[in-house]
Amino acid sequence: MKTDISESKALCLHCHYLNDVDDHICKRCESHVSQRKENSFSLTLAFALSSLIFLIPANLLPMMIVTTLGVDDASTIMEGVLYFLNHGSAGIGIVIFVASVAVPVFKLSVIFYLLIMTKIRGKKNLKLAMKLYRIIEFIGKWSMLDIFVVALMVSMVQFKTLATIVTGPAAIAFALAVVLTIIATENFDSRLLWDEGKNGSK
Amino acid sequence: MEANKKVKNTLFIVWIIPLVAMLVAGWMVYKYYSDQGVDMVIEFKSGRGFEIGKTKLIYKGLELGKVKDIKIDQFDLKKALITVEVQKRVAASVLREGNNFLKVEPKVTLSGVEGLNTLLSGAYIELYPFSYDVKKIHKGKYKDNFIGISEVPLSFYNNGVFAKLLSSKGELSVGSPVLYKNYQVGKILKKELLDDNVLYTLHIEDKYKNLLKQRSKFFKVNAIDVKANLQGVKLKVPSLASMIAGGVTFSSPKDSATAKTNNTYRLLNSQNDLDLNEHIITLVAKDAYKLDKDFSHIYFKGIDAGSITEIKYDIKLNTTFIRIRLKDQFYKIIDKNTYFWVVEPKVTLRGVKGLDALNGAYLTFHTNMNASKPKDTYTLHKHSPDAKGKRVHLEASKIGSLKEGGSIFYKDVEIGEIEKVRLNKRKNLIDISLVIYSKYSSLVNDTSAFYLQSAFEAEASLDNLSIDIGSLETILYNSIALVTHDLKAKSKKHNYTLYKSKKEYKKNRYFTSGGKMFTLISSQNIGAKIGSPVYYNNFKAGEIYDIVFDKDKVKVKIFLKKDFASKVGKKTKFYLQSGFDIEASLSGVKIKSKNLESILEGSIIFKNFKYYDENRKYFKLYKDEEHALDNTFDVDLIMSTQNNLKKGSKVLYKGFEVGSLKDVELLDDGIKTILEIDKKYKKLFNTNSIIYLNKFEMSLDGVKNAKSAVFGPSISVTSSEGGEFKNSFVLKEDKFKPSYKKEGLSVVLNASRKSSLKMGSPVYYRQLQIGWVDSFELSKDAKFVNITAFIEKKYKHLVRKNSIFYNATAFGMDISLFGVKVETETVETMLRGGIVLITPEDYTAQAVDGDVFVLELESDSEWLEYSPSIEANASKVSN
Repeated sequence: MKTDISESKALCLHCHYLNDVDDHICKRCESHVSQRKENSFSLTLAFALSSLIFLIPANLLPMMIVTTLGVDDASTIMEGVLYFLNHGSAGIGIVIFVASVAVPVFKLSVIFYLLIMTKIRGKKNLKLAMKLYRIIEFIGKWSMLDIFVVALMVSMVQFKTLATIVTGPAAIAFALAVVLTIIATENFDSRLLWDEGKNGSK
Repeated sequence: MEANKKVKNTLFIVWIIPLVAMLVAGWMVYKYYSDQGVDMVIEFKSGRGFEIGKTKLIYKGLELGKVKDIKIDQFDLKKALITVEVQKRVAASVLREGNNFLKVEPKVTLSGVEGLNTLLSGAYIELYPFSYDVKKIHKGKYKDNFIGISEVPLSFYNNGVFAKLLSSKGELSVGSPVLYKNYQVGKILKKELLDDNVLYTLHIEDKYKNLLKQRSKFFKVNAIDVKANLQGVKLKVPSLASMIAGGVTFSSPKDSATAKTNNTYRLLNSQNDLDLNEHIITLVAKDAYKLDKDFSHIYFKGIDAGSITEIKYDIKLNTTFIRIRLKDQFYKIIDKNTYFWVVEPKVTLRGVKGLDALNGAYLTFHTNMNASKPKDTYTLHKHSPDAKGKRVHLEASKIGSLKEGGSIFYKDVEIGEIEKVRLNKRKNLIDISLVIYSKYSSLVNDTSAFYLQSAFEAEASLDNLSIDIGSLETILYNSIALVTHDLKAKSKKHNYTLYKSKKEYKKNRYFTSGGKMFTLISSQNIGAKIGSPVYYNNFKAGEIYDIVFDKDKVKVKIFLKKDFASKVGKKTKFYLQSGFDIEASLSGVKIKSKNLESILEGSIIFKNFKYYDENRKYFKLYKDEEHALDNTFDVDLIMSTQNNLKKGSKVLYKGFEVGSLKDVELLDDGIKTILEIDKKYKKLFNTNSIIYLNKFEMSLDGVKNAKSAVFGPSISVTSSEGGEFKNSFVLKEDKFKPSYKKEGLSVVLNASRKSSLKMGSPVYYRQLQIGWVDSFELSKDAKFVNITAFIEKKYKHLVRKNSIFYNATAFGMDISLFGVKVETETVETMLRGGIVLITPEDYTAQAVDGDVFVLELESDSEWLEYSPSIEANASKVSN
């Protein structure tokens, strides 16, 4: 199969001009050009790991602190989900669960899977991997849903002594985790999946 | 290679990212958990009011922590263990030995509502640190379990001044206000029992601490200070809080030094005690005279001069010791000869002496104000030193409840008192010594008489000669009344007789003047009272001495003066005269009034008449002059209900009054009235007479007995001559009983219900009245109402065996688009009821008395078309 590597070419990812492999600058748009994203694997792994780390406080610490008549009620993501499930709003619970727990975990799982796939020879499920990659790229922007919910609640529910909502430390952790996941996804070069080990850029 | 190197450098940087992430996340988790606070356990008696996650630990309004857990101590079930999570930043100051934790709950202590904010937020725990110096606090030992306190620690009030207050009673409560000029300057913090006293600890706020002096005096704020006497009622209410909760107030002399803390004071009972002299005077008496430690006072010339501190009775000595304290200014004026006496209240409405019954007995004293030193002990006298005057002796056979100290009245003015009551064994009489006060001594002279006055004799009279309205006092005690006929008479006598009663006295007076007593007998109560006058030719001839109820008669005893007594003879008749004679009729009202006295009291008149009853054994008291003439006779009339008849209802014959209703008596099954009929009309009451009621009636027929509407119902008599005299009748409710002994036809109609038929409801034939309904009764099986209809003789041939009767009360109503058509026999039948007789054209034999018909409820249009020709004498043929 002909690839840019076999042909010693490098595609400019900005204007999609095909340069020679040694041209570090795109002949057409003068952007930086390389055959593969530089350090794609390491960066992706590093960001994915960081994201994973932030998911721990994000799920452990309270996301939202609701103060009703002077009574604080700090709830973590899962507590919130359970609250909705137990109080008859299963729909909202499921949405929050999907957006806040399932999706980030799924995304990170996929990233790690993809990273593993790049290192495995004679792979068979590349098409599936590719599909998963497109999915996580697509849902990346929806991952902030929970943060939006919290942000909305915080700005709207400010009734002084009656009821106030403030964000908990988990919100920041969660936001960081989501952002880091997106960055990890951005840094992942899907072409790595298709490269045969020995022809790889490294 | 260069590229490789660069890659390696970059790689190194790349791995910093997860490292930083790890640090950041780790820090976040650490910070969160380290901010969680420190737990401590406070032990309270009860966990009531605490809520997990809600109850706060507060210091000066700031939240320091929250209750995290509540549980009962598993080793001691009396305790509730409250786990409080204290915020990390303040934990170092809070968890120190010596700090106090108070549970603050909404408390409505009457001095105010405390912890009102907790009503909404629930109870909270307030921190009372042992010191206000943070450094000092931090030096304290770390401690994480505490025992909660229930009262604000005294050390918390380290700014004001404390005082101890000793009181014999523990009626004040913790939190009660300490007032100065009705302004709250502090409060009672603590209450404890110390030996036999109650020791209060109170705190005066810092800014007011200068108000408290060493010689300050504390006294209770009485809830409501009611001063009531005959001059009026004075109500003094301090602040609302102290009104309910009580409180203490103090006053401070200006020249005293400011009090040090924890100075001990004695709690005085009231403000009155404030200026009492320290010296206690003991009064020795035989009796405590119902004096009361709390209420009785000592007055000097009407001014409150002190109070009683103790009343003690010594059994051995049979003596009462009354310890009193006088106010400074009064203590100064007493000397060794000061005369103390007790003034006992007498329930009189005259005031002045023995004044307010409200305050009870009181003590008073007389002093000459010489400079001699006051004694510690005085004798308490029973009488005032100026109870001097004319001494009078009475002899009595009975004294009732007369007591020493009792009053003597002249025209209801107290003029003296009973000094001594003593039994004279020799005469078997009671000797009474009276003191007539000097200024009244001229009232007693040789024409005076004394009698025992009691409440039940008391009465009003317009006659000046008779005294007294029994005063309220006489209800409780007898007293002696004085009568003097001639104030100018000489005064030589010193011994008088005490008459048992006013009656006795009067009797005596009449007898001594040569009068005579007569007994009159009346069948009913009379309007006059004892003392009411008896007149002869408008001269006052005497008065009623006594009225005795004897079985069903009233015996009236009267006295007549000597001159008039001789006028009474066989021809004499006594009768009552009431104030007004009112004759009312439609033509007008005529009022004849007598003299003023008889208007108010009623009186008896006697007169000699031409005619008299030879057989008379006693004097009868007639109701009025007419009765005295004795020209009426009685007729009994029995009725089932009273029919609004009253005494005085008229008895009419053809509208002319022949008598009136005299009396109403209740019988077992009805009412018996007695009619009083003029003898002239005796003939009217015979076996043929019917007595019926004239009631006001308004119907479409017209108005009947309009007079009855105004004057109430009356009774009418119809009569025909020939019967024998009869004086007992049964009242017919309605005049309507003409079928009685009247010729005609009586038939019985079976109706399923009575409808609006009444006695007298008409029976029509071709809309002409031919008879009426005579009576109703329920058939034996109660299935029908049997209506007896009477048909007049001249129409009786119209009723045939096959005749139909229908109830014309019912009316038909046709409602159509064009209107409502009402069908009724006559308008009157619609309202009053009525029966219509229909006889078919093929009529049969004539009906006879007692024939039974069915009363149809509705008419058939066919019937209305019947028009038989019936001849009056045809009956004989068909029969």
